[in-house]
Amino acid sequence: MSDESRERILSALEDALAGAPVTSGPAAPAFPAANQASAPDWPALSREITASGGRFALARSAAEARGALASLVKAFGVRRAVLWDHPALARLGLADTLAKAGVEVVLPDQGPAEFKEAAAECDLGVTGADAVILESGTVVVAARPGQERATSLFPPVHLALVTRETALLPAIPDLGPWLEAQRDASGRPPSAIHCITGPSSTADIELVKVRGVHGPTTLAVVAVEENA
Amino acid sequence: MSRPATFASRSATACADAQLQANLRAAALHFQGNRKKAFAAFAGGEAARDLVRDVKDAALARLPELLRKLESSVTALGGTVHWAADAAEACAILVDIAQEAEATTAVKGKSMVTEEIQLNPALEAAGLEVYETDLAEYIIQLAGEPPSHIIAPAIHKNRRQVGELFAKKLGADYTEEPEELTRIARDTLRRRFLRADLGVTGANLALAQSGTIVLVENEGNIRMSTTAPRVHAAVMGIEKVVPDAASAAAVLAVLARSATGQKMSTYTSFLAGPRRDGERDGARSFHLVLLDNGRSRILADPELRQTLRCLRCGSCLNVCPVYEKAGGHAWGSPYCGPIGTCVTPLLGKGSGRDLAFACTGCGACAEVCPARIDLPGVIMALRRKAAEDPGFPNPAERGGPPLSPGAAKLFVKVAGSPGLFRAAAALARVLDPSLALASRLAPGLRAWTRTRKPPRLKTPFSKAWPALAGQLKPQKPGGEQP
Repeated sequence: MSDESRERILSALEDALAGAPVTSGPAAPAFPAANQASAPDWPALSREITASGGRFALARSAAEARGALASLVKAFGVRRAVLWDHPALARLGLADTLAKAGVEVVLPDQGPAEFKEAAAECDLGVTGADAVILESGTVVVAARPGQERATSLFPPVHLALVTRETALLPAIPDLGPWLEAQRDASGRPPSAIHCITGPSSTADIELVKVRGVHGPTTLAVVAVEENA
Repeated sequence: MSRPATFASRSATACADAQLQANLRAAALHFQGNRKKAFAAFAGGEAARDLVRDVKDAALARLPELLRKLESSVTALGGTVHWAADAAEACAILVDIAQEAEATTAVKGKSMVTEEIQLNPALEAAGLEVYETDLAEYIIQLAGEPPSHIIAPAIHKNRRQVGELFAKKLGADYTEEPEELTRIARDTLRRRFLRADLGVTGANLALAQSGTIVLVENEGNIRMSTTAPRVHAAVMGIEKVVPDAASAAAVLAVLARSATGQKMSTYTSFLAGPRRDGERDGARSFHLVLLDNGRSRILADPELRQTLRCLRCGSCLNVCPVYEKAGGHAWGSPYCGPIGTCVTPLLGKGSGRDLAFACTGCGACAEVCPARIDLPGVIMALRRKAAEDPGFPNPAERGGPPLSPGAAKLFVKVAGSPGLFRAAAALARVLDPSLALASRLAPGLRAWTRTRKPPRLKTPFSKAWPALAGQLKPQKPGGEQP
C-alpha cells in the first residue's frame, strides 16, 4: 500500500513541477555569512536568559560553581538529583557537592527502565551545555550515552553549566553550521539535540503565562570561568 | 445528501457568543502586540523573512529529490519511512505501527496534521487510549471540541469553563486559577507519559540531508512524548522538508517571533532516528509518515503553491478581522484564518469553497506572514476559481457564486461610472437604505445581502469622512514595513 503511494506521490510532485517550475525565488537562498564565535559576553547572555524566565549566574572558579550548585540545592530543597556523565561536571567536582549536601544521585549504571522511573523522582537535573545562543539566551544540549534527554526535562529544576566545552553562538542562524558540525564521520547527527530557552511554559488558559508545565519550572544557567 | 454547514452559519453562531468575542479580541491584541514588539527589536527581520521565502521556494522546487533523500537518511539512522497519499492511509499506517508495537496507550504532542487526518478517532477505534498532552489540546479533548487557533487551540475557552471541565472530567476540586489548572494537567499527564507505549507528534521541519525532524513547542509535552515512550511516530506534510540545518535555522529565526513574539520557543528539538546504543532514553523505534492529502495538487497550481511555504505560526490569524469576529471553528477545518481559507479547499477531498468569500481583502495577513505568502492574492485566485467552476474544489460538492453573474455585471457597470454610482446611491438612501427592497426585487443580489449587513446609507462616505478622520488616532511609526 505504502510503496504504491510512494510512487504515486513522487510522480504527482514531479508532474506538478514539470508543468510549472517554481520560479519566484532564487535557485539557492542567500544565507548570511556565519558569525564567528565570540568572546563570552556574559552580561548579554544573562540578559537574554533572564528575559525568557531563566536564572543566570557567573562563577569565576570551580569553587564558585560548587557554591552556586549548593545554594540551588538549598533554595529548592533538592533531595534527589540526576547528573550527566560529562567531563566538566567531573572536573568541577559537583557530585561531591551533592553528596556533602545529602542529595541522593541517580546511579549511572541503571538500565533504561529504572533510569526513567528514577529520573522522574528527581528534583534537580544537572547537564553541561553543548552550545549557547547569545541572541536568544538558548542553551543547547545533545543526547549521548550518559547524557540523557530526561536530565534536562523531568526534574522541576534544570541546572545547565556553560563551560569551556560550550560553543558560543552569536545568533540563531549560527545554529545551522554548528548543527552540521555535530554530525559524525558517517554523517549521523546526535540522536537528539534540544534547544532550551527558559523554563517550560504555557499561556493556554486565557493567555496567562504559567511557568512549569511538563518540563522544568526553573532553568538555572551557571557560566564557569575556569583557570586554565 | 445533507448540505454541508456553511461559513455563514458557523460564524453567525460565533458572532452571537459574547464570551467568545471577548476572548478573540483579547487574543488578537495579545498576539499582535507580541509579534510587533519582537519584530521592532529584530534588526534583520525583513531580510530574515525574505530568506524564509527563498528557503521554502528552493525546497519546493526540488521536493521529490528532497523527500527521497529524507527517506534514505532516516532509513540509514534506523528509522522507518511511510508514505500516505491521503488521511485514511495515514491513519491506517499509524494504527499498524501501534498494533505492531503492541501499544495500548499513546501520548500526542500538539500537531495540526494529526487534526487534519483525524487520527485520534482512528487510534481509539483500534482500541488505543489516546491522550493529547499540550495543555490546550488536552482541554479541548476533554471537552470533545476541535481546535480554534493554530497555536492556541483552546482560545475560545475561559478559565471558568476550564475549571468546570477539570472538575467534571478529572474529579479535581474546582479552581479557576490558571496556575492550579496547569498543575492538575501536569500531574495527570506526567503519569500518562511515563506509561505510554507510543508518542505521536507532527514535525515543524525535516532536514533531508541528515534525516532529522524539528519540533517546536513551549510546554515540554513534545519532548516528553518523544523521550519516555518506546515508540515515536511523527506525521508530517510533505512540504515540511528542507535540505539542511542552515535552512532550518533560517526558519527558526522568524518562527517563534511570528507566532508568540519569543526569539525562540522554549524547546526546539532536532531528532534523528531512534536512540543509539548506550543511550537510556528516547524512543527505541522511530517512524516518519509523509503525508500528501492534497499537497501535490496545491504544488501543481502556480497560483496556490506559495501556500506550501506556510510555517503554521498563526500570525495571519492574529491580524485577520474576519478571524477576530468569527473565531476558528467557523472555518470547519483545523486550519483557520487566512491560511485556512487558502489550504482547506485543497486538502483531503476538498471542501470549503465558500471560505474565500469570507475575506475583507484588507491585506493585513500578507504584511505579517514570515514566509511572505501573498494570502490576499491567493484568496482572490480561489474566488475566481470558484466563480469559474461550480465544481471547485470538489466536484461532489457543487456550489454557485455568491453573487449571480448578472448582478455582478450590473454592479461593475454601476460602480465603474461615478455618476451612475452616485445616482444609484442617492436613490437607495431615499428609498431603500437597508437594501431590503433591492434584494427582494433582484434575487441575484440576495445571496450577497443574506450574509451582509449593509451600512446605513444616510450620508455618503465622502461627506462623512472629514468627521471620521478626526476620530482616528495618528499611528506611531513602528518597525513594521509596508
